[in-house]
Amino acid sequence: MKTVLRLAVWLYGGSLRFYPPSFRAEFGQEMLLVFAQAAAHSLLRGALPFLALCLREVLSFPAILLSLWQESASHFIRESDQGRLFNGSSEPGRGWMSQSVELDRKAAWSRRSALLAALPPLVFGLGLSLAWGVIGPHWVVAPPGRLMAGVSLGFLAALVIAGGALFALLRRLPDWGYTWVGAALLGGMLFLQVFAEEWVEQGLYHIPPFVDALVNSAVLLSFLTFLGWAAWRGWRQAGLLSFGLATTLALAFFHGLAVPPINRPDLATLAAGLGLAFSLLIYGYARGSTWLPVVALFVAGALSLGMVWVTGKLWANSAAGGAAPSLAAFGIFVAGLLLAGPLLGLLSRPLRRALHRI
Amino acid sequence: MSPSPQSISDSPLTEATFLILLSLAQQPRHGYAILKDVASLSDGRVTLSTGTLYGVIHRLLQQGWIARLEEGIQEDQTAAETGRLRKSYTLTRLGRLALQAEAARIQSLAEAARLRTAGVEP
Repeated sequence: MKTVLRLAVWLYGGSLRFYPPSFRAEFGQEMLLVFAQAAAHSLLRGALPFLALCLREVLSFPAILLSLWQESASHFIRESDQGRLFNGSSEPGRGWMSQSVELDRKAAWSRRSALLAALPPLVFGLGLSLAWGVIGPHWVVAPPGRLMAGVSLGFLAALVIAGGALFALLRRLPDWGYTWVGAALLGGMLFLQVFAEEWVEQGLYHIPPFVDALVNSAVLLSFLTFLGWAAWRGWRQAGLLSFGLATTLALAFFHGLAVPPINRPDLATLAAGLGLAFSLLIYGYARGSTWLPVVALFVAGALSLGMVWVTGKLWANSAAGGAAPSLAAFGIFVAGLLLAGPLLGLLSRPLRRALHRI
Repeated sequence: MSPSPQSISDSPLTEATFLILLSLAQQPRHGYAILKDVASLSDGRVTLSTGTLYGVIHRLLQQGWIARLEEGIQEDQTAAETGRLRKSYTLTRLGRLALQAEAARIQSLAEAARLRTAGVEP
């Protein structure tokens, strides 16, 4: 019964996002509380009263939304006519929009949020290091037990990140969750790609071009959705999503040192240290006020490019010399991922400031 | 000059608005108490959704017919955990006048209906 109640309250909380920001800021918490009380009491009376309550909420929802948004729009037009919208004379409300503006202004996050946000690269790096530490220097001739244990450790790290991202999404994406979602998105994409390539290489499956295009579009769309959502919340949130994406990509690329043609698992075990460095930079980005986030971004970018460069150089010097991937393109992609979030967050700020006054 | 009930409510109130004002006429109430009282006042015929309730509350606050009171930390566990303030609503003088005007209008209609159904010309 508790689960049903929690689910209903969670869904109701989600539906509140559709209300105009100023209305939600004023009544959102209260509405959630009243709904929780009403739902709990109706559940005590049985399933039918509870269903009736839910149905009532669902049926009345469109009409209320329509009238509130209509009112909100006319208020917006009045404010615009009076020239108060962009000169800052209106008192900011307490809606999600103003909260996002406030988050922008906020100098630093709590230690807990920053620490949680910083964890994904450390988890991923640690997973890679432990995996190659267990497998040993010659993975081709490693005993199956060790190989399996090593691979499991790597997968465990990936699962922890995926679980963290899922938990963050279920908690409606708290501030710390953006790094986790970014890391999980990129990790999921890489996993999909590796899995598909293995299948094709082994002749198990041939991916039709339209399926390939469909999957690519879905991945791109999910990237853009999360990036847009994070940018709407603020540059810091969007930056954390970028950190999640870029650091996972850099660590995954670095992990390529352990496999052919380079075959240097000893170097790949450095992933834990690099993950720790990324985590410290993320912590600085989340906690810092003015210059520290910029420095953290710059250093993370330099570190990622360094990792790409080292991997590329070793690749070029290996037996398969000349077959190295395009370093410049990859470097630009990593740097782009890292910068896309904060830049989009900053660019969306004037729009958010304007809209939060509605 | 104080506003007359007629000037406050020229057009009839919706049933939800009337019942919410009526619920607050006796004493200040918080959201859930209003929901329960409205259901009880209408013999269970009118059960408001949370959205409808707060849509009306929002409008009544804007009109100055009701006012918000902060009552301190809620007694129930959910709210005590979050430390949220319980918000109650009370009828203002203007709201009371509007309610009286609506009650008078309904009363006059009911009287006309009573006379006509009894075959008496008002």
